Amino acid sequence: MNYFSFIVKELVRKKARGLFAILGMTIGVVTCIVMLGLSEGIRDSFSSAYLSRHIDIIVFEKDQYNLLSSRIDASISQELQKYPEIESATGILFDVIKYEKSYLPLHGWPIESRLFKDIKVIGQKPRPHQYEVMLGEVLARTAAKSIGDSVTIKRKPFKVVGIFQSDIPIERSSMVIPLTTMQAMDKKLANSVVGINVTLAQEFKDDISLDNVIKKIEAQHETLSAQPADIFSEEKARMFLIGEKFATLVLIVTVIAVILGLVNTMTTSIFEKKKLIGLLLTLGWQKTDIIVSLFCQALFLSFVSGVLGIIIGFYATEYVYKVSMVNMFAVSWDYQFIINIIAVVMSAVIASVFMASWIVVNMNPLEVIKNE
Amino acid sequence: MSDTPALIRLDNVLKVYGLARIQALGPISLSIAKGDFVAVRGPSGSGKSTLLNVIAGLTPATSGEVYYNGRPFPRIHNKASWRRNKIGFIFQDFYLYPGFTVLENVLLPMANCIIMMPKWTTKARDMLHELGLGGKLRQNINTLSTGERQRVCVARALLNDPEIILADEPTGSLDSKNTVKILEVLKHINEEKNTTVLMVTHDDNVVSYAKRQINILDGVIRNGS
Repeated sequence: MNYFSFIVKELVRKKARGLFAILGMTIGVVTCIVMLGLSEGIRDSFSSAYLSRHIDIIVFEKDQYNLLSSRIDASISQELQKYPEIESATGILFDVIKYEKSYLPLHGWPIESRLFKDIKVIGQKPRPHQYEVMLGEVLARTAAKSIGDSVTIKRKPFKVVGIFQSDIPIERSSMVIPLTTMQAMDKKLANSVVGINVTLAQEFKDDISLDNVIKKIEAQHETLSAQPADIFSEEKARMFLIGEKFATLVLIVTVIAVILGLVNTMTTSIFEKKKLIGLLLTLGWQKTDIIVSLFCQALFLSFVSGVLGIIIGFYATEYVYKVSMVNMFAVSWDYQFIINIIAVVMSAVIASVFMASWIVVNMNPLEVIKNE
Repeated sequence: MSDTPALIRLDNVLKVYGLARIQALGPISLSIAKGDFVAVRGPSGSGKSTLLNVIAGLTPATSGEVYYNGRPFPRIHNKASWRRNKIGFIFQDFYLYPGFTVLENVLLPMANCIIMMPKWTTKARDMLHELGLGGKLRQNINTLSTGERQRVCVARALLNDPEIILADEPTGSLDSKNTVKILEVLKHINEEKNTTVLMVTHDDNVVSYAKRQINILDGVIRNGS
Protein backbone atom coordinates (compact mmCIF):
# COMPACT_ATOMS: atom_id res chain seq x y z
CA MET A 1 0.00 0.00 0.00
CA ASN A 2 1.34 3.44 -0.92
CA TYR A 3 -0.05 6.96 -0.77
CA PHE A 4 -2.12 6.65 -3.95
CA SER A 5 -3.58 3.27 -3.08
CA PHE A 6 -4.39 4.66 0.36
CA ILE A 7 -6.38 7.49 -1.27
CA VAL A 8 -8.18 5.04 -3.56
CA LYS A 9 -8.95 2.73 -0.65
CA GLU A 10 -10.26 5.65 1.36
CA LEU A 11 -12.56 6.54 -1.53
CA VAL A 12 -14.02 3.07 -1.82
CA ARG A 13 -13.98 2.24 1.89
CA LYS A 14 -17.45 3.64 2.43
CA LYS A 15 -19.01 3.01 -0.95
CA ALA A 16 -22.53 4.07 -0.02
CA ARG A 17 -21.29 7.30 1.51
CA GLY A 18 -19.19 8.06 -1.56
CA LEU A 19 -22.06 7.30 -3.91
CA PHE A 20 -24.41 9.53 -1.93
CA ALA A 21 -21.84 12.33 -1.97
CA ILE A 22 -21.53 11.98 -5.76
CA LEU A 23 -25.30 11.79 -6.11
CA GLY A 24 -25.79 14.89 -3.97
CA MET A 25 -23.20 16.90 -5.84
CA THR A 26 -24.48 15.67 -9.22
CA ILE A 27 -28.03 16.73 -8.37
CA GLY A 28 -26.65 20.10 -7.30
CA VAL A 29 -24.80 20.62 -10.57
CA VAL A 30 -27.79 19.36 -12.61
CA THR A 31 -30.09 21.80 -10.81
CA CYS A 32 -27.71 24.69 -11.50
CA ILE A 33 -27.43 23.78 -15.18
CA VAL A 34 -31.16 23.31 -15.69
CA MET A 35 -31.92 26.64 -14.02
CA LEU A 36 -29.16 28.27 -16.01
CA GLY A 37 -30.37 26.68 -19.27
CA LEU A 38 -33.93 27.86 -18.69
CA SER A 39 -32.98 31.39 -17.83
CA GLU A 40 -30.42 31.71 -20.64
CA GLY A 41 -32.65 30.00 -23.18
CA ILE A 42 -35.59 32.27 -22.56
CA ARG A 43 -33.46 35.41 -22.66
CA ASP A 44 -31.50 34.39 -25.74
CA SER A 45 -34.66 33.40 -27.57
CA PHE A 46 -35.59 37.07 -27.59
CA SER A 47 -32.24 38.73 -27.94
CA SER A 48 -31.24 36.50 -30.88
CA ALA A 49 -34.42 37.48 -32.73
CA TYR A 50 -32.87 40.69 -33.99
CA LEU A 51 -29.21 39.93 -34.03
CA SER A 52 -29.46 36.81 -36.19
CA ARG A 53 -31.42 38.77 -38.84
CA HIS A 54 -28.66 41.37 -39.18
CA ILE A 55 -31.11 44.00 -37.99
CA ASP A 56 -29.29 47.07 -36.75
CA ILE A 57 -32.06 49.42 -35.63
CA ILE A 58 -35.61 48.94 -34.41
CA VAL A 59 -38.03 51.78 -34.96
CA PHE A 60 -41.21 51.87 -32.88
CA GLU A 61 -43.78 54.28 -31.46
CA LYS A 62 -42.34 56.68 -28.93
CA ASP A 63 -43.13 56.10 -25.26
CA GLN A 64 -44.53 52.63 -25.92
CA TYR A 65 -43.25 49.97 -23.61
CA ASN A 66 -43.24 47.18 -26.19
CA LEU A 67 -43.98 46.32 -29.77
CA LEU A 68 -47.45 44.95 -29.00
CA SER A 69 -48.75 48.41 -28.11
CA SER A 70 -46.67 50.28 -30.72
CA ARG A 71 -48.39 51.64 -33.85
CA ILE A 72 -46.57 53.32 -36.74
CA ASP A 73 -47.79 54.46 -40.12
CA ALA A 74 -46.67 51.75 -42.55
CA SER A 75 -45.59 54.31 -45.13
CA ILE A 76 -42.71 55.44 -42.91
CA SER A 77 -40.77 52.32 -43.85
CA GLN A 78 -40.73 53.50 -47.48
CA GLU A 79 -39.42 56.88 -46.31
CA LEU A 80 -36.65 55.26 -44.32
CA GLN A 81 -35.77 53.08 -47.27
CA LYS A 82 -34.69 56.24 -49.09
CA TYR A 83 -31.94 57.03 -46.58
CA PRO A 84 -28.56 56.32 -48.21
CA GLU A 85 -27.31 54.64 -45.02
CA ILE A 86 -30.20 52.18 -44.96
CA GLU A 87 -30.16 48.99 -46.98
CA SER A 88 -33.62 47.85 -45.96
CA ALA A 89 -36.46 49.04 -43.74
CA THR A 90 -39.15 46.44 -43.17
CA GLY A 91 -42.37 47.28 -41.39
CA ILE A 92 -43.82 44.31 -39.53
CA LEU A 93 -46.84 43.44 -37.46
CA PHE A 94 -46.70 41.28 -34.40
CA ASP A 95 -49.43 40.05 -32.13
CA VAL A 96 -50.06 37.32 -29.62
CA ILE A 97 -53.22 35.43 -30.46
CA LYS A 98 -55.22 32.68 -28.87
CA TYR A 99 -54.93 29.44 -30.78
CA GLU A 100 -56.92 26.55 -29.39
CA LYS A 101 -55.84 26.38 -25.75
CA SER A 102 -52.64 28.36 -25.89
CA TYR A 103 -51.36 31.75 -26.98
CA LEU A 104 -49.01 32.04 -29.92
CA PRO A 105 -47.02 34.76 -31.66
CA LEU A 106 -48.48 35.84 -35.00
CA HIS A 107 -46.20 37.68 -37.43
CA GLY A 108 -47.28 39.82 -40.34
CA TRP A 109 -44.41 40.14 -42.82
CA PRO A 110 -44.38 41.91 -46.18
CA ILE A 111 -44.38 39.26 -48.92
CA GLU A 112 -41.39 40.82 -50.61
CA SER A 113 -39.47 41.06 -47.35
CA ARG A 114 -36.03 39.51 -46.92
CA LEU A 115 -37.30 38.03 -43.64
CA PHE A 116 -38.52 35.04 -45.66
CA LYS A 117 -34.97 34.44 -46.84
CA ASP A 118 -33.83 33.92 -43.29
CA ILE A 119 -36.15 30.99 -42.66
CA LYS A 120 -35.96 27.56 -44.21
CA VAL A 121 -39.32 26.74 -45.69
CA ILE A 122 -40.47 23.19 -46.24
CA GLY A 123 -43.53 23.27 -48.42
CA GLN A 124 -45.22 24.31 -51.58
CA LYS A 125 -44.58 28.04 -51.51
CA PRO A 126 -41.65 30.10 -50.30
CA ARG A 127 -44.04 32.87 -49.16
CA PRO A 128 -47.72 32.95 -48.16
CA HIS A 129 -50.29 35.00 -50.03
CA GLN A 130 -53.68 36.31 -48.97
CA TYR A 131 -55.20 33.83 -46.49
CA GLU A 132 -52.29 31.52 -46.42
CA VAL A 133 -50.12 30.83 -43.41
CA MET A 134 -46.73 29.36 -42.65
CA LEU A 135 -46.24 27.51 -39.38
CA GLY A 136 -43.11 27.24 -37.29
CA GLU A 137 -41.90 23.63 -37.08
CA VAL A 138 -42.56 23.32 -33.33
CA LEU A 139 -46.08 24.65 -33.70
CA ALA A 140 -46.76 22.38 -36.69
CA ARG A 141 -45.61 19.40 -34.63
CA THR A 142 -47.50 20.24 -31.45
CA ALA A 143 -50.66 21.27 -33.33
CA ALA A 144 -50.33 18.24 -35.65
CA LYS A 145 -50.74 20.39 -38.75
CA SER A 146 -49.19 19.76 -42.12
CA ILE A 147 -49.18 21.46 -45.51
CA GLY A 148 -52.65 21.71 -46.97
CA ASP A 149 -54.37 21.74 -43.59
CA SER A 150 -56.43 24.64 -42.42
CA VAL A 151 -55.99 26.71 -39.27
CA THR A 152 -58.28 29.36 -37.85
CA ILE A 153 -56.74 32.72 -37.02
CA LYS A 154 -59.01 35.35 -35.52
CA ARG A 155 -62.06 33.40 -36.76
CA LYS A 156 -60.74 33.33 -40.33
CA PRO A 157 -59.62 30.10 -42.04
CA PHE A 158 -56.07 30.04 -43.35
CA LYS A 159 -54.46 27.38 -45.50
CA VAL A 160 -51.11 26.04 -44.38
CA VAL A 161 -48.75 26.48 -47.34
CA GLY A 162 -45.43 26.01 -45.57
CA ILE A 163 -43.67 24.84 -42.47
CA PHE A 164 -40.47 26.60 -41.63
CA GLN A 165 -37.36 26.17 -39.57
CA SER A 166 -35.87 29.24 -37.97
CA ASP A 167 -32.74 30.13 -36.07
CA ILE A 168 -34.88 32.26 -33.79
CA PRO A 169 -36.44 30.01 -31.17
CA ILE A 170 -39.59 32.03 -30.63
CA GLU A 171 -40.43 31.85 -34.35
CA ARG A 172 -40.49 28.07 -34.26
CA SER A 173 -43.76 28.22 -32.36
CA SER A 174 -45.27 31.05 -34.34
CA MET A 175 -47.36 31.69 -37.45
CA VAL A 176 -46.47 33.98 -40.34
CA ILE A 177 -49.07 35.55 -42.59
CA PRO A 178 -48.75 38.35 -45.16
CA LEU A 179 -48.55 41.83 -43.66
CA THR A 180 -51.37 43.13 -45.84
CA THR A 181 -53.67 40.29 -44.76
CA MET A 182 -52.98 40.97 -41.11
CA GLN A 183 -53.63 44.68 -41.61
CA ALA A 184 -56.90 43.89 -43.38
CA MET A 185 -58.13 41.59 -40.61
CA ASP A 186 -58.27 44.34 -38.01
CA LYS A 187 -59.38 47.92 -38.66
CA LYS A 188 -57.05 49.21 -35.97
CA LEU A 189 -54.11 47.75 -37.85
CA ALA A 190 -54.98 49.20 -41.25
CA ASN A 191 -51.92 50.83 -42.82
CA SER A 192 -50.04 50.27 -39.57
CA VAL A 193 -47.04 48.35 -38.46
CA VAL A 194 -45.79 47.78 -34.89
CA GLY A 195 -42.18 48.40 -35.76
CA ILE A 196 -39.68 48.78 -38.54
CA ASN A 197 -36.60 46.62 -38.76
CA VAL A 198 -33.75 48.63 -40.21
CA THR A 199 -30.66 47.08 -41.73
CA LEU A 200 -27.81 49.48 -42.50
CA ALA A 201 -25.86 49.36 -45.71
CA GLN A 202 -22.56 47.54 -45.33
CA GLU A 203 -20.44 50.72 -45.50
CA PHE A 204 -22.45 52.30 -42.66
CA LYS A 205 -22.25 49.42 -40.20
CA ASP A 206 -20.30 51.28 -37.55
CA ASP A 207 -21.23 52.86 -34.24
CA ILE A 208 -21.02 56.45 -35.46
CA SER A 209 -23.28 55.85 -38.47
CA LEU A 210 -25.67 53.87 -36.31
CA ASP A 211 -25.89 56.78 -33.90
CA ASN A 212 -26.32 59.29 -36.74
CA VAL A 213 -29.14 57.32 -38.39
CA ILE A 214 -30.96 56.99 -35.05
CA LYS A 215 -30.68 60.73 -34.47
CA LYS A 216 -31.85 61.42 -38.02
CA ILE A 217 -34.93 59.19 -37.70
CA GLU A 218 -35.91 60.64 -34.33
CA ALA A 219 -35.35 64.20 -35.57
CA GLN A 220 -37.56 63.72 -38.62
CA HIS A 221 -40.28 61.76 -36.82
CA GLU A 222 -41.11 63.12 -33.39
CA THR A 223 -43.53 60.30 -32.68
CA LEU A 224 -40.90 57.59 -33.23
CA SER A 225 -38.17 56.06 -31.17
CA ALA A 226 -35.22 54.28 -32.70
CA GLN A 227 -32.87 52.01 -30.82
CA PRO A 228 -29.96 49.77 -31.68
CA ALA A 229 -31.34 46.23 -32.03
CA ASP A 230 -29.23 44.76 -29.22
CA ILE A 231 -30.32 47.41 -26.72
CA PHE A 232 -33.92 47.11 -27.88
CA SER A 233 -33.93 43.35 -27.39
CA GLU A 234 -32.42 43.79 -23.94
CA GLU A 235 -34.85 46.49 -22.84
CA LYS A 236 -38.10 45.86 -24.66
CA ALA A 237 -38.13 42.13 -24.94
CA ARG A 238 -37.94 41.92 -21.20
CA MET A 239 -41.61 42.54 -20.84
CA PHE A 240 -42.09 39.02 -22.13
CA LEU A 241 -39.59 37.76 -19.68
CA ILE A 242 -41.19 37.99 -16.32
CA GLY A 243 -39.88 34.49 -15.92
CA GLU A 244 -36.35 35.43 -16.92
CA LYS A 245 -35.62 37.41 -13.78
CA PHE A 246 -37.46 34.89 -11.72
CA ALA A 247 -35.40 32.12 -13.27
CA THR A 248 -32.21 34.08 -12.56
CA LEU A 249 -33.30 34.58 -8.96
CA VAL A 250 -34.10 30.91 -8.62
CA LEU A 251 -30.72 30.15 -10.18
CA ILE A 252 -28.91 32.29 -7.59
CA VAL A 253 -30.87 30.72 -4.74
CA THR A 254 -30.20 27.28 -6.22
CA VAL A 255 -26.48 27.94 -6.52
CA ILE A 256 -26.33 29.17 -2.91
CA ALA A 257 -28.35 26.18 -1.71
CA VAL A 258 -26.18 23.80 -3.72
CA ILE A 259 -22.99 25.39 -2.36
CA LEU A 260 -24.27 25.18 1.22
CA GLY A 261 -25.38 21.59 0.70
CA LEU A 262 -22.07 20.53 -0.81
CA VAL A 263 -20.01 22.40 1.79
CA ASN A 264 -22.05 20.69 4.48
CA THR A 265 -21.55 17.27 2.86
CA MET A 266 -17.81 17.72 2.47
CA THR A 267 -17.15 19.19 5.92
CA THR A 268 -19.33 16.55 7.57
CA SER A 269 -17.47 13.77 5.77
CA ILE A 270 -14.13 15.21 6.93
CA PHE A 271 -15.25 15.70 10.51
CA GLU A 272 -16.53 12.12 10.45
CA LYS A 273 -12.96 11.07 9.66
CA LYS A 274 -11.60 13.05 12.61
CA LYS A 275 -10.67 9.94 14.53
CA LEU A 276 -8.83 8.41 11.59
CA ILE A 277 -7.06 11.67 10.84
CA GLY A 278 -6.01 11.86 14.51
CA LEU A 279 -4.63 8.35 14.23
CA LEU A 280 -2.61 9.19 11.11
CA LEU A 281 -1.16 12.28 12.80
CA THR A 282 -0.25 10.23 15.84
CA LEU A 283 1.46 7.65 13.64
CA GLY A 284 3.64 10.38 12.16
CA TRP A 285 1.85 11.47 9.01
CA GLN A 286 2.55 15.06 8.00
CA LYS A 287 -0.38 17.45 8.10
CA THR A 288 0.17 18.19 4.42
CA ASP A 289 -0.03 14.45 3.57
CA ILE A 290 -3.45 14.30 5.17
CA ILE A 291 -4.73 17.54 3.64
CA VAL A 292 -3.54 16.50 0.15
CA SER A 293 -5.16 13.09 0.59
CA LEU A 294 -8.49 14.69 1.58
CA PHE A 295 -8.14 17.15 -1.30
CA CYS A 296 -7.57 14.36 -3.81
CA GLN A 297 -10.62 12.53 -2.54
CA ALA A 298 -12.74 15.69 -2.70
CA LEU A 299 -11.40 16.53 -6.16
CA PHE A 300 -12.22 13.07 -7.43
CA LEU A 301 -15.75 13.22 -6.04
CA SER A 302 -16.19 16.76 -7.39
CA PHE A 303 -14.83 15.82 -10.82
CA VAL A 304 -17.06 12.77 -11.18
CA SER A 305 -20.08 14.71 -9.91
CA GLY A 306 -19.23 17.69 -12.10
CA VAL A 307 -18.94 15.61 -15.27
CA LEU A 308 -22.07 13.60 -14.49
CA GLY A 309 -23.91 16.77 -13.48
CA ILE A 310 -23.01 18.57 -16.71
CA ILE A 311 -24.01 15.64 -18.93
CA ILE A 312 -27.26 14.93 -17.08
CA GLY A 313 -27.89 18.67 -16.76
CA PHE A 314 -27.78 19.21 -20.52
CA TYR A 315 -30.11 16.29 -21.18
CA ALA A 316 -32.43 17.32 -18.35
CA THR A 317 -32.70 20.85 -19.72
CA GLU A 318 -33.43 19.60 -23.23
CA TYR A 319 -36.10 17.34 -21.73
CA VAL A 320 -37.66 20.19 -19.75
CA TYR A 321 -37.88 22.27 -22.93
CA LYS A 322 -39.44 19.40 -24.85
CA VAL A 323 -42.13 18.47 -22.36
CA SER A 324 -43.08 21.86 -21.00
CA MET A 325 -44.74 25.02 -22.22
CA VAL A 326 -41.35 26.56 -22.80
CA ASN A 327 -41.11 24.71 -26.12
CA MET A 328 -41.50 28.05 -27.85
CA PHE A 329 -37.98 28.73 -26.64
CA ALA A 330 -34.83 26.79 -27.40
CA VAL A 331 -32.06 25.71 -25.14
CA SER A 332 -29.26 28.19 -25.17
CA TRP A 333 -26.00 27.70 -23.36
CA ASP A 334 -23.63 30.32 -22.16
CA TYR A 335 -20.71 27.95 -21.74
CA GLN A 336 -18.52 30.54 -20.08
CA PHE A 337 -21.23 31.16 -17.53
CA ILE A 338 -21.68 27.43 -16.94
CA ILE A 339 -17.94 27.06 -16.38
CA ASN A 340 -18.05 30.02 -13.99
CA ILE A 341 -20.95 28.55 -12.03
CA ILE A 342 -19.31 25.11 -11.81
CA ALA A 343 -16.03 26.79 -10.83
CA VAL A 344 -17.74 28.77 -8.08
CA VAL A 345 -19.50 25.66 -6.76
CA MET A 346 -16.38 23.51 -6.92
CA SER A 347 -14.22 26.26 -5.40
CA ALA A 348 -16.61 26.43 -2.48
CA VAL A 349 -16.30 22.65 -2.09
CA ILE A 350 -12.50 22.77 -2.25
CA ALA A 351 -12.36 25.71 0.17
CA SER A 352 -14.62 23.90 2.63
CA VAL A 353 -12.46 20.77 2.34
CA PHE A 354 -9.36 22.83 3.01
CA MET A 355 -10.94 24.62 5.95
CA ALA A 356 -12.32 21.46 7.55
CA SER A 357 -9.04 19.59 6.96
CA TRP A 358 -7.05 22.45 8.45
CA ILE A 359 -9.22 22.49 11.57
CA VAL A 360 -8.98 18.72 12.03
CA VAL A 361 -5.23 18.38 11.43
CA ASN A 362 -4.57 21.12 13.96
CA MET A 363 -6.46 19.38 16.75
CA ASN A 364 -4.55 17.37 19.33
CA PRO A 365 -4.61 13.95 17.63
CA LEU A 366 -4.54 11.84 20.76
CA GLU A 367 -7.36 13.85 22.30
CA VAL A 368 -9.35 13.53 19.07
CA ILE A 369 -9.02 9.77 18.78
CA LYS A 370 -9.60 9.13 22.47
CA ASN A 371 -12.45 11.52 23.14
CA GLU A 372 -14.52 11.28 19.99
CA MET B 1 22.02 11.27 37.15
CA SER B 2 24.11 8.89 35.00
CA ASP B 3 26.82 10.05 32.60
CA THR B 4 24.86 9.04 29.50
CA PRO B 5 22.03 11.44 28.74
CA ALA B 6 18.52 10.19 29.35
CA LEU B 7 16.57 9.24 26.25
CA ILE B 8 13.68 11.37 27.46
CA ARG B 9 14.02 14.05 30.11
CA LEU B 10 11.36 16.41 31.38
CA ASP B 11 12.49 19.48 33.32
CA ASN B 12 9.76 21.20 35.33
CA VAL B 13 7.25 20.58 32.57
CA LEU B 14 3.88 22.23 33.06
CA LYS B 15 0.89 21.76 30.80
CA VAL B 16 -2.06 24.09 31.12
CA TYR B 17 -5.12 23.82 28.85
CA GLY B 18 -7.38 26.55 27.54
CA LEU B 19 -8.37 29.97 28.70
CA ALA B 20 -9.57 28.48 31.96
CA ARG B 21 -5.92 27.60 32.63
CA ILE B 22 -6.68 24.04 33.68
CA GLN B 23 -3.45 22.54 34.93
CA ALA B 24 -3.32 19.03 33.46
CA LEU B 25 0.30 18.23 34.21
CA GLY B 26 3.15 19.36 36.40
CA PRO B 27 5.33 20.86 37.18
CA ILE B 28 6.96 17.54 36.56
CA SER B 29 10.57 16.38 36.19
CA LEU B 30 11.24 12.95 34.86
CA SER B 31 14.10 11.05 33.32
CA ILE B 32 13.68 7.91 31.23
CA ALA B 33 16.81 6.07 30.15
CA LYS B 34 17.19 4.03 27.00
CA GLY B 35 16.02 0.49 27.60
CA ASP B 36 13.84 1.45 30.52
CA PHE B 37 10.39 -0.11 31.03
CA VAL B 38 8.29 2.37 33.00
CA ALA B 39 4.75 1.84 34.17
CA VAL B 40 2.83 5.05 34.75
CA ARG B 41 -0.05 4.67 37.18
CA GLY B 42 -2.71 7.03 38.32
CA PRO B 43 -6.47 7.51 38.42
CA SER B 44 -8.45 8.91 35.49
CA GLY B 45 -7.72 12.59 34.89
CA SER B 46 -4.45 12.45 36.78
CA GLY B 47 -2.44 13.58 33.74
CA LYS B 48 -1.13 10.26 32.40
CA SER B 49 -2.35 10.83 28.86
CA THR B 50 -1.12 14.42 28.91
CA LEU B 51 2.30 13.06 29.86
CA LEU B 52 2.23 10.74 26.81
CA ASN B 53 1.07 13.67 24.63
CA VAL B 54 3.95 15.84 25.77
CA ILE B 55 6.55 13.08 25.38
CA ALA B 56 5.26 12.24 21.88
CA GLY B 57 5.37 15.89 20.84
CA LEU B 58 1.66 15.91 20.14
CA THR B 59 1.16 18.89 22.41
CA PRO B 60 3.80 21.41 23.50
CA ALA B 61 4.61 21.98 27.17
CA THR B 62 3.29 25.29 28.49
CA SER B 63 6.54 25.77 30.38
CA GLY B 64 9.61 23.74 31.22
CA GLU B 65 11.67 21.73 28.81
CA VAL B 66 11.44 18.29 27.21
CA TYR B 67 14.65 16.72 25.98
CA TYR B 68 15.06 13.85 23.57
CA ASN B 69 18.55 12.34 23.64
CA GLY B 70 19.74 15.54 25.33
CA ARG B 71 18.25 17.69 22.57
CA PRO B 72 15.51 20.19 23.50
CA PHE B 73 12.24 19.23 21.90
CA PRO B 74 11.55 22.54 20.13
CA ARG B 75 14.72 21.99 18.08
CA ILE B 76 13.16 18.94 16.45
CA HIS B 77 11.66 20.66 13.44
CA ASN B 78 9.65 17.89 11.89
CA LYS B 79 7.97 16.29 14.89
CA ALA B 80 5.66 14.18 12.74
CA SER B 81 8.62 12.60 11.01
CA TRP B 82 10.43 12.17 14.33
CA ARG B 83 7.33 10.48 15.75
CA ARG B 84 7.08 8.15 12.78
CA ASN B 85 10.71 7.09 13.07
CA LYS B 86 11.23 7.01 16.83
CA ILE B 87 7.88 6.32 18.50
CA GLY B 88 5.50 3.38 18.46
CA PHE B 89 2.00 3.81 19.84
CA ILE B 90 -0.16 1.12 21.37
CA PHE B 91 -3.68 2.05 22.41
CA GLN B 92 -6.25 0.45 24.65
CA ASP B 93 -8.85 0.67 21.86
CA PHE B 94 -6.36 -0.29 19.13
CA TYR B 95 -7.44 2.44 16.71
CA LEU B 96 -7.04 0.33 13.63
CA TYR B 97 -8.22 1.58 10.25
CA PRO B 98 -11.62 0.07 9.50
CA GLY B 99 -12.07 -1.46 6.06
CA PHE B 100 -8.33 -2.04 5.69
CA THR B 101 -6.65 -5.43 5.87
CA VAL B 102 -4.37 -6.58 8.68
CA LEU B 103 -1.26 -5.98 6.56
CA GLU B 104 -2.44 -2.55 5.41
CA ASN B 105 -3.05 -1.49 8.99
CA VAL B 106 0.47 -2.45 9.97
CA LEU B 107 1.86 -0.54 6.99
CA LEU B 108 -0.23 2.54 7.75
CA PRO B 109 2.59 4.65 9.32
CA MET B 110 4.54 4.32 6.04
CA ALA B 111 1.57 4.67 3.68
CA ASN B 112 2.17 8.36 3.10
CA CYS B 113 5.09 7.46 0.83
CA ILE B 114 4.60 7.64 -2.93
CA ILE B 115 6.35 4.28 -3.25
CA MET B 116 6.13 1.70 -0.47
CA MET B 117 9.58 0.24 0.07
CA PRO B 118 9.44 -3.58 -0.19
CA LYS B 119 11.42 -3.82 3.05
CA TRP B 120 8.46 -2.44 5.01
CA THR B 121 6.07 -4.96 3.51
CA THR B 122 8.48 -7.80 4.23
CA LYS B 123 9.00 -6.57 7.75
CA ALA B 124 5.27 -6.18 8.39
CA ARG B 125 4.68 -9.74 7.16
CA ASP B 126 7.47 -11.12 9.34
CA MET B 127 6.17 -9.35 12.43
CA LEU B 128 2.64 -10.53 11.86
CA HIS B 129 3.97 -14.08 11.49
CA GLU B 130 5.86 -13.71 14.77
CA LEU B 131 2.73 -12.45 16.47
CA GLY B 132 0.70 -15.42 15.21
CA LEU B 133 -1.23 -13.51 12.55
CA GLY B 134 0.62 -14.86 9.52
CA GLY B 135 -2.51 -16.51 8.15
CA LYS B 136 -4.61 -13.38 8.41
CA LEU B 137 -2.60 -10.84 6.44
CA ARG B 138 -5.33 -10.20 3.87
CA GLN B 139 -8.17 -10.43 6.31
CA ASN B 140 -10.26 -7.36 7.03
CA ILE B 141 -9.48 -5.89 10.42
CA ASN B 142 -13.15 -6.03 11.41
CA THR B 143 -13.07 -9.84 11.38
CA LEU B 144 -10.40 -10.16 14.10
CA SER B 145 -10.87 -10.82 17.81
CA THR B 146 -9.85 -8.14 20.32
CA GLY B 147 -6.66 -10.00 21.19
CA GLU B 148 -5.72 -10.26 17.53
CA ARG B 149 -6.49 -6.59 16.97
CA GLN B 150 -4.17 -5.62 19.79
CA ARG B 151 -1.44 -7.73 18.24
CA VAL B 152 -1.95 -5.89 14.96
CA CYS B 153 -1.65 -2.64 16.91
CA VAL B 154 1.61 -3.91 18.43
CA ALA B 155 2.93 -4.90 15.00
CA ARG B 156 2.09 -1.44 13.69
CA ALA B 157 3.92 0.17 16.62
CA LEU B 158 7.01 -1.96 15.98
CA LEU B 159 7.20 -1.55 12.21
CA ASN B 160 9.62 1.38 12.35
CA ASP B 161 11.86 -0.18 15.06
CA PRO B 162 10.99 2.63 17.46
CA GLU B 163 13.26 3.80 20.25
CA ILE B 164 10.28 4.38 22.50
CA ILE B 165 6.97 2.58 22.78
CA LEU B 166 4.19 4.64 24.30
CA ALA B 167 1.49 2.23 25.42
CA ASP B 168 -1.72 3.75 26.72
CA GLU B 169 -3.54 1.05 28.72
CA PRO B 170 -2.48 -1.59 26.14
CA THR B 171 -4.20 -4.43 27.97
CA GLY B 172 -7.28 -2.53 29.11
CA SER B 173 -9.57 -4.23 26.60
CA LEU B 174 -8.05 -7.71 26.77
CA ASP B 175 -8.73 -10.88 28.70
CA SER B 176 -6.01 -12.27 30.98
CA LYS B 177 -4.65 -14.66 28.35
CA ASN B 178 -4.22 -11.94 25.72
CA THR B 179 -2.95 -9.53 28.38
CA VAL B 180 -0.08 -11.88 29.16
CA LYS B 181 0.66 -12.33 25.44
CA ILE B 182 0.93 -8.60 24.83
CA LEU B 183 2.99 -7.96 27.96
CA GLU B 184 5.36 -10.76 27.02
CA VAL B 185 5.81 -9.18 23.59
CA LEU B 186 6.57 -5.78 25.16
CA LYS B 187 8.96 -7.35 27.67
CA HIS B 188 10.68 -9.25 24.86
CA ILE B 189 11.15 -6.12 22.78
CA ASN B 190 12.40 -4.21 25.79
CA GLU B 191 14.95 -6.86 26.67
CA GLU B 192 16.01 -8.00 23.20
CA LYS B 193 16.02 -4.70 21.34
CA ASN B 194 16.61 -2.39 24.29
CA THR B 195 13.48 -0.47 23.28
CA THR B 196 12.24 1.95 25.91
CA VAL B 197 8.66 1.28 27.00
CA LEU B 198 6.44 3.81 28.73
CA MET B 199 3.18 2.13 29.65
CA VAL B 200 0.15 3.75 31.24
CA THR B 201 -1.89 1.25 33.27
CA HIS B 202 -4.31 0.75 36.13
CA ASP B 203 -3.58 -2.94 36.52
CA ASP B 204 -1.25 -4.06 39.35
CA ASN B 205 -0.46 -7.31 37.51
CA VAL B 206 0.67 -5.36 34.49
CA VAL B 207 2.90 -3.11 36.59
CA SER B 208 4.96 -6.16 37.59
CA TYR B 209 6.30 -6.42 34.03
CA ALA B 210 7.86 -2.95 34.29
CA LYS B 211 11.32 -2.24 35.64
CA ARG B 212 10.00 0.74 37.55
CA GLN B 213 6.79 2.58 38.12
CA ILE B 214 5.68 6.17 38.45
CA ASN B 215 2.52 7.19 40.26
CA ILE B 216 0.82 10.36 39.09
CA LEU B 217 -1.87 12.21 40.98
CA ASP B 218 -3.29 15.60 39.98
CA GLY B 219 -0.62 15.96 37.33
CA VAL B 220 2.25 15.53 39.71
CA ILE B 221 4.53 12.52 40.32
CA ARG B 222 3.94 11.16 43.80
CA ASN B 223 6.73 8.63 43.74
CA GLY B 224 9.50 7.67 41.32
CA SER B 225 11.17 10.05 38.86
